Parts: sequence; C-alpha cells; structure tokens
Amino acid sequence: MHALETVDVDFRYPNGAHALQGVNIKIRTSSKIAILGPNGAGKSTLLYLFNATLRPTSGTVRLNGAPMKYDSSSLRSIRQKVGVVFQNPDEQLFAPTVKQDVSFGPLNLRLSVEEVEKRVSESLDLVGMSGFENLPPHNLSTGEKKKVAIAGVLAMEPEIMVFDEPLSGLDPKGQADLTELLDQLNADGKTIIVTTHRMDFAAEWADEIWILKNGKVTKKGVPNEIFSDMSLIHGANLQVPMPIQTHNELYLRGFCNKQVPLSVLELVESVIEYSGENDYTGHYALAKEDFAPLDDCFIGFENGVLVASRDDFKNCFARCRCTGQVHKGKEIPIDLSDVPEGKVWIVRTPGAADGGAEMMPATVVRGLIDSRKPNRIGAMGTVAKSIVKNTGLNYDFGSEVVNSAVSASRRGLSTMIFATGKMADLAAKRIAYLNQRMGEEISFQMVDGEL
Amino acid sequence: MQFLEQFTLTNKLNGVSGKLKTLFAVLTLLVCSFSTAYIVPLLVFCIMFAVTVVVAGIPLRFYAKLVLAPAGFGLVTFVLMMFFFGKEPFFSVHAGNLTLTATKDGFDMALISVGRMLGSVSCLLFLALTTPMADIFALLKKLKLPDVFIDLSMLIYRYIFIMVQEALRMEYAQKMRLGYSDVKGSFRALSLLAGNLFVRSWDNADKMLTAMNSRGYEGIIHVLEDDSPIPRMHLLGLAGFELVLVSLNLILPR
Ligand SMILES: Nc1ncnc2c1ncn2[C@@H]1O[C@H](COP(=O)(O)OP(=O)(O)OP(=O)(O)O)[C@@H](O)[C@H]1O
Ligand SMILES: [Mg+2]
Repeated sequence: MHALETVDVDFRYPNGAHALQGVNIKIRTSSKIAILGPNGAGKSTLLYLFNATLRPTSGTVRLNGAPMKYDSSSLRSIRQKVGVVFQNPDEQLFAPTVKQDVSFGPLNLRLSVEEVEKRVSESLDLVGMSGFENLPPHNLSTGEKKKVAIAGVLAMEPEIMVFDEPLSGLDPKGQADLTELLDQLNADGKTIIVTTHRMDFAAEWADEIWILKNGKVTKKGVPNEIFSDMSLIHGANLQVPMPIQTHNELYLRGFCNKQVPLSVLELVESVIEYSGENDYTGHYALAKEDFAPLDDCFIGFENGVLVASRDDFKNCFARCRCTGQVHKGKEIPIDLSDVPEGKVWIVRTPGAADGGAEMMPATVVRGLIDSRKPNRIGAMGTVAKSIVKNTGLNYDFGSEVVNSAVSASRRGLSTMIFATGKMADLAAKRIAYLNQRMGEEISFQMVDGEL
Repeated sequence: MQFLEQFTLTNKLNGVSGKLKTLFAVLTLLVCSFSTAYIVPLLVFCIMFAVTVVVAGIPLRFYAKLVLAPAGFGLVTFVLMMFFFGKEPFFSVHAGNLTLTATKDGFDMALISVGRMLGSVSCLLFLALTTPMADIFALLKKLKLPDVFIDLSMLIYRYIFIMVQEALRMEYAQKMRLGYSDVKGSFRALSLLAGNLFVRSWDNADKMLTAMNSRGYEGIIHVLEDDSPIPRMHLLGLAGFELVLVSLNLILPR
C-alpha cells in the first residue's frame, strides 16, 4: 500500500520557475523516507504538494491510492491525514501564545475542547516544550519555535507526517530527541517523510531515500545503496556520511571488509571483524587497585589516562578479565576477546495512552534493576524517561539508545533499556537487524514491565 | 529592543484574571474620561500608578520614562489653556513689556483636561504593562466582537513582532556592512530597508496563510482561550470601585 504517490507531477511557480518536472514518487505506508537534494532542487515544493497546499500544474498526487481532489471538503480530509511542518517556523506560528498556536490545528478538526487541551499538552511534552504554554512566539529562540511548530502538527495526529528540514536549528540534544520522536511516531504506524541536508541522519534513520535534483528524481534506494554511489552523491551536492567516508579510506587500505556501514557502530564492527578479534597486544590500562586472575576490570578514561577499576564507574566504557596478578599502579593488559558479551534487557513500560509514568511505580523499576544488575540504563520515549527518573536514578543512554546498548554489549557491558509500548518492539527489531547486519548474536530479552 | 509587553508575563499581577484586569482598566478609563470633577482623574492616576508600580512591581524608572512624554505634553497644554482660553481674569505674569493674563475658567479647563489625559494614560499603561494580549483577545471574544475584528487584531499583533524583528535584522545586517556611515549612505540604506520590509512582509503574509491553510484554516481562527470565569467577588469589587468614582463626580464641585 502506498501512502503517497505522485504521478508525472509538474509544478511551475507563477513567476515561471519550473520547480518540479515529471516527478514520480511512491511512498509506502508506515515507512521512513528521507528526501535529499541540493538547494533549490524542489524538495520543499514537493512537500507542499503532499498536503495539497500547492496543486500540481499537471499530473496527479495520490493519497492512499486515491487521486487528490481540491474542493474544500477534500482539502479538509487531506489535511487531517497529512501534516506538514514547514522549514521556517516563523511562517507557521501566528497565534499570541504557544498554547494557542498548537491548539489551532486540532480545533480546526472540530475536536472537543478537552481533547484539544489533552493533545496540546501531550504534543508540547513530546517536543520538550512543556512550561512554555503562555509565552508569545516572538519570545522564543529559533530552535524553540521549531519545536512548537512541530507540536502544532503533532497535535493534529495525522497519519502521514512531513517535515521540511526538521533538524536544522536544533541543538545536538534536540536533534537526537527529535530523531527518537520520529522513530516513536513511526512505531505507532505513521508514515514519516523528511527532507534534510544531514547525511549521517539520513543514512542511519531512513528506510528509503529519494534524491531530487533540478526538479527531477535522480535516484531512490535504501541508504547503503544510495551512499555507495559516489558519482550520484557528488552530482547532487551531497556528501557521504562520516562513517562511510572513513570506511572507504580504511577499505582501500585493506583494514576492513566491504559492507557499507551506516553508523559508527557498524564501521567499528567491520574493522574488528576484518582484523581478527584476538589481536589486542599492546593495549594497557593503569590498575587503580590490586587485581587477581579472572577479576572483572572496568576500563575507561580518567583525566586522559586509561584506567582499570574493579567496580563499574561513570566513564567506564568496557569490561574485560584480568589474566594474572596485577598490583595497583601497574599496567593491566586489555583483552576484549575473552569477555562474554553484555546482555541487553528491554523492559516494556506503559505508554502515555496507558496512563503514563504513574502506572509503573519506582519499586517495580528498582526491583528489575536490582535483580538483573545492568551496567547501563537506557530510556526510549518520554514516559520511559520519566519512569526511570522517578526512581531517582539517571539513564546513561537517552538518545541512540539501541546503538549504544549494542555497542556496550560488544564491550562487555550489559544494558537495561526501558522503552515505551511500541518503542520496545522497535528496539527489539533494531537489535535483531543490527545482529543480522553485523553477523553477531547479541542476546536480548524482553522483560514485561508489569513484573 | 524593549517592548512594553515584556512585563505582562512576569509582573506580580500575573495570577489575576486577565479579563478582570482588562475590565478594570477599560471601565476606569471610561469613568476617567467622562469625569467632571478634576479630583477624580488625579485620583485615578494615583491609584493606577500604585497598582502598576507597587502592586504589580513594574520598575519605577521604566514607568517614569513612559509617563514623562505625555506629562510633558500635558504641561504645555496646561500652560496654553490657562493663558489663551477663557475670559475671567485670574492672575497676570509680567515679562518685560509683555503681560500674560491667566484666566480662571481657562485654569479649570486645563486642570480637568490634563487630569483626564494623565488618568487615561495611567489606565492604558496599567493594561499594557500587566495584561498579556492573549487575555485581551479572550475578553474581546467573550464580548462577542466580530470574529474578523479579533482575528485581524491577533494577526496584526503577531505581525508587529515579525516586522520589527525583520527590520532589526536588516538594520543590523546593513550596519555590519557600514550601511549608515554617512548621511547619503544612511538615506540609501534606510530606503532599501523600508522597501524591502514591505516586500518581505507581503511575502511572509503569503507564506503564513499557506501554513495556516495546511493546518486546516477555513476563514475563522480557532484557538484555545482561557475560559476561566472572573470570580464573582472580584467583579463586585470592581463594580463598587467604579461606582465610588462615578459618585465622587456627582458629589464634588465641578
Ligand atoms: N514562492 C516561490 N516563487 C517562485 N519560485 C519559487 C518559490 N519557491 C521556490 N521557488 C523556486 O523553485 C525551486 C525549488 O525550490 P524549493 O524551495 O522547492 O527548493 P528546496 O529543494 O526546498 O531547496 P532548499 O534545500 O534550499 O530548501 C527553486 O528554483 C526556487 O527558486
Ligand atoms: Mg526547502
């Protein structure tokens, strides 16, 4: 089933600019799509067609298989189904206060005031803008405006969500949070379409990438297909993401296998696999205590020096086994080949729809943590994050959670991931996918939150 | 750039119903401008000053700056009216061989006019400094003013800031590239800025409409309004206050 489809779509602006020329795009329902292309390629124009903000000069746009009509009742239902977040938030925010602006869309859907109130506070919470309700938009920073603009469309709960450069203007944490939000929305079955100039994001996040140039589609494909085509990438003013660039260099010099990595994690795996896992000679850490053979050593940097400690500590990033007797202040050899991989537990927590963080008391969370004793804690989704916070603990991974957990597991550290509802399935799927891509078998276990 | 508006979200009267504040300001303004006894407007000024500066905690310096301009204007008006209106001689001022005679009825008229002016200004300042626009719009809606009127005011309100910010950005961009370094250059830069501001505003308006359409706009702006009613006791208090002002007018000599 295709959520959106354009058939031979042409679009000319009134001044004659031929922004789209015979564009044929098919977007599968519930997929994550990135549209890439140089400035002026026609990306924004294309997005405007998706919710009938613009009407093609010729050709048709199909929504769920049916050609779009442009009379007022059809427009209504189209805009209910397809939400667009514009590139520039100043274009979108018009109301005197943040709350009023976010309420505009849902009220136009003629929902009850209680429902609107609920959606407004939920969507502001999702983008991390709770507490800003009564501020006027001009008192916000650019990134904050952007988040409010996103909330304004979230609150309409459309089945297809279109974002024009959602990451631009957000700080790194904001970008990570938004990426997670996009995954969360997708896990709820929504189709997500974004345009972006952030290649690393596109490579890691998208199911499928479409490349647009001079108003035409020049290529579509899955990320590693797209990013292994150098001439295409450079021809479209794009850039190869850093892990792939590094991979190319290493590959040409004979240091890794040839599978294109989509993230830093995959790149590292590729190198390790190629170089053979046992070659760790010459790596040492400074022993902070006396070690006996087979003791666990937790290894990490402290003031720029690699140290080994018998207990887990904050900056520790790996665990290995001590091979012999080592005294405090001496060097301890690091060998990750002999460490059992850390387990990953995925705890399914209630979601906002099931009653939120109150449904999972701190004692239950404590119980889970104390019985499994994970080295690290991850949290996916706002509710899961507050569930962890409610216990007085802090999560170590709040963004890129699955990648971080898998990576930690490869370094001997176990992780317990708290994930809201469908995000838990998403996490499991992602681990399975990474296992398959990297040829690994990281064991993970779903734990029911109600335990 | 400082806007009067900045205090509306941080002043100490923030918890009080915006509708009540608006009613208080507007009713007092009306009573003040129709007052016949000069004491009443001056009383209004004192009360409004106290409420704004002491109760709401607006900085005195800031308030003084705002009052100074109309007060200066009032002083000039006062002098002119006293000397050039009315017939009944009051007192005379001799300056060289020039004699100016103030009149009694001119003096009375000046007192009441300037008093009303200052009283009204203080009412408006109270409103502008303590009440967020959103609350004022909510009241207008409650009073069943036409939607077009309210929607338009809402958009204008948002637009003022977009335009000011745009203008400031452009001015800054020009200054960075030495746009205002001499007189001729200043004129050129200013004309460019003004022309551009118009074009950009037009363009922005167009884009904003597009964005509103895409969120289902169909001609009427629906947004959540603060729907909390004004507490009955507060309303009664307000009515009592206005009644006292009105009756003062009736009792006191003109
Ligand atoms: N309102 C407009 N009127 C006339 N021409 C326009 C308008 N908007 C865009 N264009 C033209 O249409 C073409 C496509 O523009 P579009 O905004 O879709 O590009 P884009 O791919 O989103 O670029 P960017 O990455 O810079 O956001 C450009 O050549 C642009 O000059
Ligand atoms: Mg664009």
